[in-house]
Amino acid sequence: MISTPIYGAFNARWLSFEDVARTFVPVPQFLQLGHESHSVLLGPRGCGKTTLLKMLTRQALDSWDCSGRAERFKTSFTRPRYEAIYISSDVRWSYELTSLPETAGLSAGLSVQAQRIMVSSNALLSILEATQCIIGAGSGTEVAISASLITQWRLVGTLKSIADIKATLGRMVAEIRGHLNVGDVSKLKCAFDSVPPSFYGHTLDAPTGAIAIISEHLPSELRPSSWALCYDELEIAPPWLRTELLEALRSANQNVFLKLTWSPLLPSGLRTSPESAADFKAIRLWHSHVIDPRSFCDELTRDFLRERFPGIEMTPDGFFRRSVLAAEGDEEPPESYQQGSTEYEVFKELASWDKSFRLLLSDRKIDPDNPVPKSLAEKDQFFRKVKPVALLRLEFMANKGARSRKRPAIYAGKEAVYAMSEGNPRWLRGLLNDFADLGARGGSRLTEPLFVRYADQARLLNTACQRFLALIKASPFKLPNQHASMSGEQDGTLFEFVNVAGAYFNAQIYGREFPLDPVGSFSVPGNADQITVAVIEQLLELGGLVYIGSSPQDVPIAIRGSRFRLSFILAPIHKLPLRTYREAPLDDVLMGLHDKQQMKLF
Amino acid sequence: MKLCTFEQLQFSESLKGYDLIVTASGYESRARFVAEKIGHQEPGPCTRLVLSFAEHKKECARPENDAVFEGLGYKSSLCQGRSDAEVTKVVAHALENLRDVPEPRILVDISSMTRAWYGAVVRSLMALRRESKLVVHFAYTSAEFVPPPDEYPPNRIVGPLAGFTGNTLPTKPTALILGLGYDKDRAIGLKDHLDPQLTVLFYADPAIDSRYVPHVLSVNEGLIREAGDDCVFTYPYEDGAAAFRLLESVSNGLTRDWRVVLCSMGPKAFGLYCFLVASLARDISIWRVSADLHEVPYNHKPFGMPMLLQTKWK
Amino acid sequence: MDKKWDITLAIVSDLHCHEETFSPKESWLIAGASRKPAGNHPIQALISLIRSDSIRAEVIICPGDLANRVSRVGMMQSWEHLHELKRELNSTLLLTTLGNHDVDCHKKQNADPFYIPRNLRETFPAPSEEELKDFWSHGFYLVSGPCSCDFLVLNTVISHTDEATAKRGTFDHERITCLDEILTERTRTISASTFKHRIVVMHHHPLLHSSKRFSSSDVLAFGDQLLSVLNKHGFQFIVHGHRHEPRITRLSAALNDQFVLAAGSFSAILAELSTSTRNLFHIAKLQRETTNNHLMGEILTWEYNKGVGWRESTSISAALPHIARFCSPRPKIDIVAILVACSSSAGSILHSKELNAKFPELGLLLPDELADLCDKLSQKGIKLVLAANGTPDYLGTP
Repeated sequence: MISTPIYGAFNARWLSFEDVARTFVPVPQFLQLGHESHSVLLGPRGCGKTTLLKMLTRQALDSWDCSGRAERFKTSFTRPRYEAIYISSDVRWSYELTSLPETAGLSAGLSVQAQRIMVSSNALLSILEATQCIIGAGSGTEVAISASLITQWRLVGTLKSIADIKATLGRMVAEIRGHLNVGDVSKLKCAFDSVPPSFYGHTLDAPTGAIAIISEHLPSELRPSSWALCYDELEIAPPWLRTELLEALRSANQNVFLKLTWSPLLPSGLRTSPESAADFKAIRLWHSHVIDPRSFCDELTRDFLRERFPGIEMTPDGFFRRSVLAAEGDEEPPESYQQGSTEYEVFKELASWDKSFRLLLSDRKIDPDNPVPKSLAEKDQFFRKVKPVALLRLEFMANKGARSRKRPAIYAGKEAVYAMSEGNPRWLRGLLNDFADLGARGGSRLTEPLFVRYADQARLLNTACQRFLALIKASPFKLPNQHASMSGEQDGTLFEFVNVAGAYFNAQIYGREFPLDPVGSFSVPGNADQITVAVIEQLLELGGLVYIGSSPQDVPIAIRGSRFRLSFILAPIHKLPLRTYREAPLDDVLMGLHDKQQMKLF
Repeated sequence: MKLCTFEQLQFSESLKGYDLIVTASGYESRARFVAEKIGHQEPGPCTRLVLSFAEHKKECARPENDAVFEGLGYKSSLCQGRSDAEVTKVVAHALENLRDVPEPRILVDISSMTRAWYGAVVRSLMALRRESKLVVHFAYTSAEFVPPPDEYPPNRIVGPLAGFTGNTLPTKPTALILGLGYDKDRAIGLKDHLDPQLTVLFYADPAIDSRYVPHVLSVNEGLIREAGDDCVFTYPYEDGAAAFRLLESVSNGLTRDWRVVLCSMGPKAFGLYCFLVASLARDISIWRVSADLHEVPYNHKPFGMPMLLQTKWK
Repeated sequence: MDKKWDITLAIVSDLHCHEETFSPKESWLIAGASRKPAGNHPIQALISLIRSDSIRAEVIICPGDLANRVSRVGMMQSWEHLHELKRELNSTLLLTTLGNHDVDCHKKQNADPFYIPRNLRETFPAPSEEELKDFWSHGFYLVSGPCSCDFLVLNTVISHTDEATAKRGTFDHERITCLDEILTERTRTISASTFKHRIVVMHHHPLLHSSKRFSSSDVLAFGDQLLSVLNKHGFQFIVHGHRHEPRITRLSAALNDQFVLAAGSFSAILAELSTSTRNLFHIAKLQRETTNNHLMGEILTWEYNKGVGWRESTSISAALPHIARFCSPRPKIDIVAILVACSSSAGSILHSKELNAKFPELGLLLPDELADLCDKLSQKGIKLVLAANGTPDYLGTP
């Protein structure tokens, strides 16, 4: 029978609060989010923003406390003092809200009014549900709260119960929706007449008003000292909603905090404000450099293996084994680069036919037929530096059939999986599930630890790469408002940008000369046009591009002047290393696009 | 008006007695197939309208199509392929002119229409208010099998169609019902973009041409595996009523716990079923996915006899 | 409602099963169809529901139209499915009658329109030879069922010998008279009070059953007479099929209330009705109060959708809520008492538990009676809200 998929989308959006808590792997950012202040959670899709917001709620925290997970992760955190209200959203909701103005016959004013009413109703329903959790049903408090809300909102024929208020709000929205769908403007206007003005005033009018009433009637032992409204998927919300909530970050309301989610780029309205640092906390949820997410990925993988294969001791190292391509530093075994090691064989083989590499070794007084580091310094400064490129050139430039069977597949191994997941919990869980399904194939119950063969890992990672590319291809490029009239004429797409950039970086690796220090990222000039900026923003939001800051906490405030790389998930398609290399100007990177056709876009 | 019956009839060249015919002139030669088959209608008032694409006016069979429609007495209205507003205006006006006709019969040939267009037709029927019922025949000419392209252009348009946005509050998760086509990875890309909790897949099997099925299965392999047997349905291409009933039943069953989005990437007939199902359940949203002007024009030739679907509206 | 019921009946009506090659498809139940995935097969999906919800019924009833357009393969498959369900439900008795689709009134397959049902199985459609004989000769049979229940199964297609006679259900005056006599005679040997419940199964509707789309011209011509005779002999619960539109009607006659359940179709593709109802399965429970002989009943309904399987029905989707209760005599509702109770409760609202405790009679009304009551209460300024399953949820004065 059709039912909720178990391993489906790994998307916290529709998990219950309790289920979110059951699978939560703590991260430092959660502690920052718990502070009594406005917060903006920045990160691409799937990086865990929804999970963190939902974890703030009473239901999730109660479930966490009872689950024993705190002990397992040896983590405890003080519960936030505020009562968090999670206000749900999803892609469909955002698209439909945003498309309201396109309804035939509907004026701009009416469509925005409809949007506001629906957004307010959504928030209020969440607040009412949270209130029911606080007080339970049928209490005198419920009656008092309901009576006040009914008066405030002029609800006719509504009983003094939160359930009936919710039902009335639901009917109101359904009526409006019905008129919208058939384009009956006159009936829509009539319906609006009975909606309280606070529902279509400022975004926060109705929610804060409701919170004030609820707080007033709650007995002191139940009354939260403050509240937090957690708005999800704000980056794809209608412009007025984004603007009002972002502006509200500057408010000094100590009773109601805002916890907002956003794409990896700080919202434009916030960037230039000198008070920004004091108004809110920007919390970053992505990783610029390959080493950054490793410990989180390890925790998440361990947790997954424990849940998926109970009773079997499995470690990430055993499940994946080492990645020759992506392991760095201490992750490499001591015998790496010595005679007989994989690295040694790679260097030797490459040097046998890659003249430029041979020359590079010779110039450094390294015997190409016996390429062994003479010192630790040489190993660190040269051998480790060139290893990824050497591996890739050997893999993809050698003659067909020359690939050694003894070498493991390139895009495989723990460090490669982690790198390609970008520390994104949803991506990583999806990959882990696919790997685990392979192991569980045949239906026989596992009795000993599973190792997923490198070839299988590489195949699945390649599939994930193709799939991600399909997502980019499926995602239309949204022109900035001021260029909306160009819609249909503009040629460029997110997909083409990624392909051109990938081709450029690919050429860096596979040129005639072995690159000691290839280009692997780009910087955006200060005079980049708005359309280019918009493309990069949208790719950032999808996760196709990653911002590279000067530190792991660095948050981009502008596209122009910033540095980016392609997501490592795309590495297999363009045969790129899993490492952040030096930057080149964006114009150089997009030269291929300009050469290809007379571009209007880039 | 509300859809009250749906059945499939046998297409016959002797179909007559229409009060209104709406068709489309594009670059495919199948665009004119139905019009040519039924030729001139009986003497008596029959309004013949052809919605002519504002784009690709010289491509493939377009000039010939225009000439044929003109010869058959069709009145042309130029409309943008992506726009529903223009079509809504034309069709609503034509329906209004039938106000005094008791139980009018209408033929709509969707063979070369975009989803936005035939969605606009369905929407116009839904918005119409009249005392007596009307009968609408939807005709669809299948295309000759063409192997799938190696590449398809990236999407330029993704999102709900006007009048079929659902507009439901996000209090329940989204379920995406996808009619599969054979553009590689297009379906999985949309699924990842929309990010539903549940994905249910439909594909035609038996298809109009048996060669379609392995291609559809191959390019959607990952998605089909992920959806699982419970969530994959086949429908008989040539039995429109069965396909419609199946889609309607599955959609209805899902609406209790999910907010349903329908999106058709395969045969246009399935797209029509989606609109008709959404006309019955207003919560359901219809999404379209398109490369817009960047779809590569191809002259799809007609194959077999057209499908004729009879709907009655009250 | 936590209650001990005298008897539980499972009702599977109008299956319309046919063979795979028949086109266009008119039923979700196709003979020989794959049972996987379960959600795609109405019987397999129902078995899943029976197992997951531990549904049990002493008797399983099929009021006809096992086949679609007298498909022999379909009829046989349906018969096997009914036996399968009987095992799953732990039933001791399976009662079936014939519908118009089980009769070859066009004589396409044989000169005898009843050739196929007569020759399907030894004990089809009646449980024993004697009952079979009665079924074909008198057009009805009686059988004493479990739990002190008496069942009367009518053959309302007995006169469907050609197209003309098949236009409506038949059970003419002669047969009614015969029935009356036999029932009276039977009373001499078995007192009517022996039976806690007397239940009738037939295919065609004995009372008018029109709707927005359809008239009721195929009603039993002498339906009112039939009902009168049935009432005389204490048959208070009547189940029929044929209309595919569910309905529960209280007939308040001179003697006792009778309750007529028009069962929904189990698996016919509802071409014209899918906007108003769905495919349905019912469980009917009956209870006779020993103290006052009052009859109480509860009808649970599930609706079927492809893929999802069987779920609790709703009024919006299926025109019948999941729970429909009735009581005979009809309970009196004291609106004044309700008003007083509201005004003295916190917030002028009575929630479910308190409401059911103070006014249990509200939970014993049929869906249309509840709807009627909601209107009456509304006129008095009282709002009654029903839960999704059709039962009273809460009530109050705004």
